[in-house]
Amino acid sequence: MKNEKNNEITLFLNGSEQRFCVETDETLLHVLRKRAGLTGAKKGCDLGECGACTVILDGRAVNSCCVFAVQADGKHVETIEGIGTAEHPHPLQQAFVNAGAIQCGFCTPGMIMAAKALLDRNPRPSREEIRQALSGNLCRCTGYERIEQAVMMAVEIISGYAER
Amino acid sequence: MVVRTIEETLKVQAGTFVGGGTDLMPLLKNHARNDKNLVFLNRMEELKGIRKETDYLYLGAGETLYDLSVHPLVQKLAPAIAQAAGMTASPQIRNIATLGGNIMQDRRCIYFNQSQFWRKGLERCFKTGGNICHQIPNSPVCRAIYYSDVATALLAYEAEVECVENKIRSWIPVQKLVHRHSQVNGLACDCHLPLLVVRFRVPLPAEGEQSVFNKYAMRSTIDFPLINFALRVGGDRPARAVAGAVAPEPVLLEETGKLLDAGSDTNTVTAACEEELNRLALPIREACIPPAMKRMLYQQFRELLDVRAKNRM
Repeated sequence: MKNEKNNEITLFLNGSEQRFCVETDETLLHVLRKRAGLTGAKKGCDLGECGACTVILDGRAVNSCCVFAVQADGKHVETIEGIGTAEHPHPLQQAFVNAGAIQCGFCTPGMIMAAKALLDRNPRPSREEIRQALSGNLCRCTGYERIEQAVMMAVEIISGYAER
Repeated sequence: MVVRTIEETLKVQAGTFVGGGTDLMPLLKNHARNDKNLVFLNRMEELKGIRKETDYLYLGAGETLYDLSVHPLVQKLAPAIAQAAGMTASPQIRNIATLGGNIMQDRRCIYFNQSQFWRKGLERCFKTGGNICHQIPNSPVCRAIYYSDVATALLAYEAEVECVENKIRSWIPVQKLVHRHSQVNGLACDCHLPLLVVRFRVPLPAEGEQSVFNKYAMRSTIDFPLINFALRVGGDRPARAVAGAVAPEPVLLEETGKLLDAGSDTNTVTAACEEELNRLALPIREACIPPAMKRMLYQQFRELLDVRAKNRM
């Protein structure tokens, strides 16, 4: 896909305002990985099926491979890089480690971002709601049981914070 | 190009209107389409909004499928639309994909929705600018299937759509729009109606009206439907049953509707639905199942008939 036109867009990327010059048909995923250097969101199927590229756009989980960058102009984008650090991981990140919900890890950023979008709007989801929220994310090695357990663990941790 | 008003869209020459873009993006990546002038509609406030007015429920074409699926008015007044929107694709796609884009989606076929490299080994089909349908080689037209879930539900309600075409704004039945879109879209992948879809309106339900939608797919969030059904019964209008993902456009089951109005039993209605679909559906080879197995799914219409019991309660 090549397009001759350049467009300037502004993204509030993990809380910081950043400007990019993008092609009309460029994807948000391409901007994140190639222009912003944020390679946490993965390029998997590149067709909106696997969820490895999931980021949170204005509070909602989206497949960044299927979002035109131009459409994200002026919006808040959260990626896996923005939710925690190695020293201070997000409860979801820690729960995935503790639950052994990671093998190859390729799907993990997408899984965590899809789960975070859920917990941000529903801090006490049921198992069914977790399954629904993660139904657009494929994992080919870990299996979904551990992933679901990890999200349940994170729910408990986050609820504990809220009750303090 | 990002447009903000209908007036701006009127100035566009030979553009492709983009709602969420989730249907178009994979086609561009696979070089199945080569649209040059993309016109982004996501900043158009006029395409937004879900509201109830005197006789209709109005649904903006730019509303996302997620918003439709959770909106209390849609859930109450047009539940089949909320159900269809909530069963389409994955949560991530539903957060971007729009109602208008879902209705104007490309028809699909296993010989077309492939990479450019894969398609190189085949003669060009109707949708890629050639003169053959690989599904049905003696067919004079493209036989790719139209897979929209929401269209099936809209047809069950006899919904109408407001379009801007040739600078004229008018309301037409959704069934007519889908029919025209389906015909044009089968001629070549870059053919699309030169119109802008603005909003939809669904007649408000009369007392006693019940409606429901259901779909069957191998993996519901990844795969397109193997078949979908919408049913509206009761109230002050004749019953209406519609099946989707079985032909180049949704199939209206008129005889089945008459039997529903006559109060026929579940077995009789299901048999009529199977008979009508055997006559009207145009199944093709799909990724998951052969046409023979698809025909076995026609009887799944039975699952929707429980909605009639609500009228008797």
